[in-house]
Amino acid sequence: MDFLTPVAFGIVFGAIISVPAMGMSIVYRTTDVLHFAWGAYMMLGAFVAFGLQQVGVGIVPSVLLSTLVVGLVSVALSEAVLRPLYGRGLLSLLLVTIGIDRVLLNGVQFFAGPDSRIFQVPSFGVISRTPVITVRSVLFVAISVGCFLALYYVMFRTGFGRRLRAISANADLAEVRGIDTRRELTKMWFLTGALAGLGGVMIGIRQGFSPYLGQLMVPYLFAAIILGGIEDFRGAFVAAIALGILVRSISRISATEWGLAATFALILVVLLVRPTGLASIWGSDERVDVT
Amino acid sequence: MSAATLTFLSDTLVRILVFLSLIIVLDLKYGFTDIPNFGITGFFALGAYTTAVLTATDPQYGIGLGLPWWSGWLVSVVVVAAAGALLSLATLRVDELYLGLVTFAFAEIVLVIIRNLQPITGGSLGLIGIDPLLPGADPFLRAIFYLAAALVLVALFAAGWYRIATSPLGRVLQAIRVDELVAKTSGKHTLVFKIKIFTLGSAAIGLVGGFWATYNGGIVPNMFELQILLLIWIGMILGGNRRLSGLVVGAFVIFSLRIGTRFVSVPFITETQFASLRGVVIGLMLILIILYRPQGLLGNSKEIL
Repeated sequence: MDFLTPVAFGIVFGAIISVPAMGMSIVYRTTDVLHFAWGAYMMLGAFVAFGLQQVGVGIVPSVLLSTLVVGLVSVALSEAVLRPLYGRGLLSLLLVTIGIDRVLLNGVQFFAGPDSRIFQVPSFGVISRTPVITVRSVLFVAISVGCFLALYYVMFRTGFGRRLRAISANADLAEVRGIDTRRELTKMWFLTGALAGLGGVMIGIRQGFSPYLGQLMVPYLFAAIILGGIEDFRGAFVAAIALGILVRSISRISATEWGLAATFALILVVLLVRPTGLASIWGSDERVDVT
Repeated sequence: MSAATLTFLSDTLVRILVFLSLIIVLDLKYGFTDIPNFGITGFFALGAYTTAVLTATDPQYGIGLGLPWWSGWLVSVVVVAAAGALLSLATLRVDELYLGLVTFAFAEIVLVIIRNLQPITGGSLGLIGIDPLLPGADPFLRAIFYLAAALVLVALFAAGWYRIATSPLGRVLQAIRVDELVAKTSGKHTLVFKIKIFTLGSAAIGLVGGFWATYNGGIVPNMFELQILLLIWIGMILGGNRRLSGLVVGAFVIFSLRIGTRFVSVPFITETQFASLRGVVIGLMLILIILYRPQGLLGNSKEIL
């Protein structure tokens, strides 16, 4: 039996998932929003890119435009719905994002119907047959590593990243020290939303999509960020790829759904044994715990 | 009104009452101790499937042992209570938000297992052939009987809720909710109280699950999906939690919307589109309540979610 193919598939799947997961983790860290609609944002990205491609826009501009659109949606929804609730407790924020998720899923389904769709994108050639590796999947992994490096640079080497980390440590203090928190968070929502859109397009190209794409992806997103320590996007990146390999390997030897069961079991075990996830292994960074 | 209309009305009412009983249990846990149970449909499914497997006769798929209904309900209560006790024992020490995630993960695992253990549960095809109460009776008579049973169930739960809310136990739970540290300092072993209430609530959900399986005569995994979980949560928040009248209003508003519109047809749009529209409305309701009326429709503005 070919054991390398599930590993290769898992790396690609995990790499794609890591892109939105990193954004989701930054969102949680800076605003305390555990964003249930993050999968729906991915779904939205896939639909926008697909629609653009249908009307004749090339694949690269479609991807870029849909990323932009989801970024703007993320900003708009955070302004309209989430910002008034900052500080009102984790549960209120979580429940509101569940509401957003319902509206997006059902709204898209109302207009587009529940059917699955497939992107017409070539695989650009095959690199290896055992394990199966195509140029397109290498490209996906490269994009995700690129996103990781770019985020690392932005978060740790730029003024914007420093201000964001200040806000996540203590928003009031940051405000007092002259940081325009609203402006910085707006930028953050755009950036992370764009990542969600990008992840959605990539997963859509790789395995097709329907309005339910978000529903399918949310468990993996949650598992990745919990495993990664919730607040650390670096952890989310590593965890997503590890999770991808695990899920695809399990799917290889049994029914697909057991991979999902394993994902939830993993969430359960990690939360019980080591609630801080991977971050506790390499030591948390400078976030001040104020609780 | 014809007998058919009355049967339909009574059926709708029974369904709403079943969800009302779940909302009462959820409120007992969440409203009083802030335990966010996102796994309520998992416990519900566990209870329903336990009764289904024990009491079904000759299901097409899965196992049916053909035992009488009361034994199924009894075992459901015990099994779900045990699952609740174990889960709470293992998890109640972690943060509330984490606990929400743990219970959610638990519910999803239960569903995945039910969907995939086809030899036992019938998988996604469901498990049918569960014997009804009063097997030989006239359908109309049986509908009335079920309605009475559901009313008794809800009355029992409401009484239990009220009893606990006004008892010393309820006061400790309230204290835990407001400030766990203070409750601890006053010598209350808060963890034990939380486990007690979680186990008791799980046992109650097990009973509702058993009733649900018997009432429907056959169950499929989709009856316990995420959508239902959200409806139960919205039902609890909508009317205002921590007061029975609020729970009743919430349950009736949200589940009449869901169940009462099953056979309504709207011109110009398809059935799927109508379902989507309903989903949008439910999502918007959740958003608007939390934004503008976090204490619920009947709630007191001093008690915020």
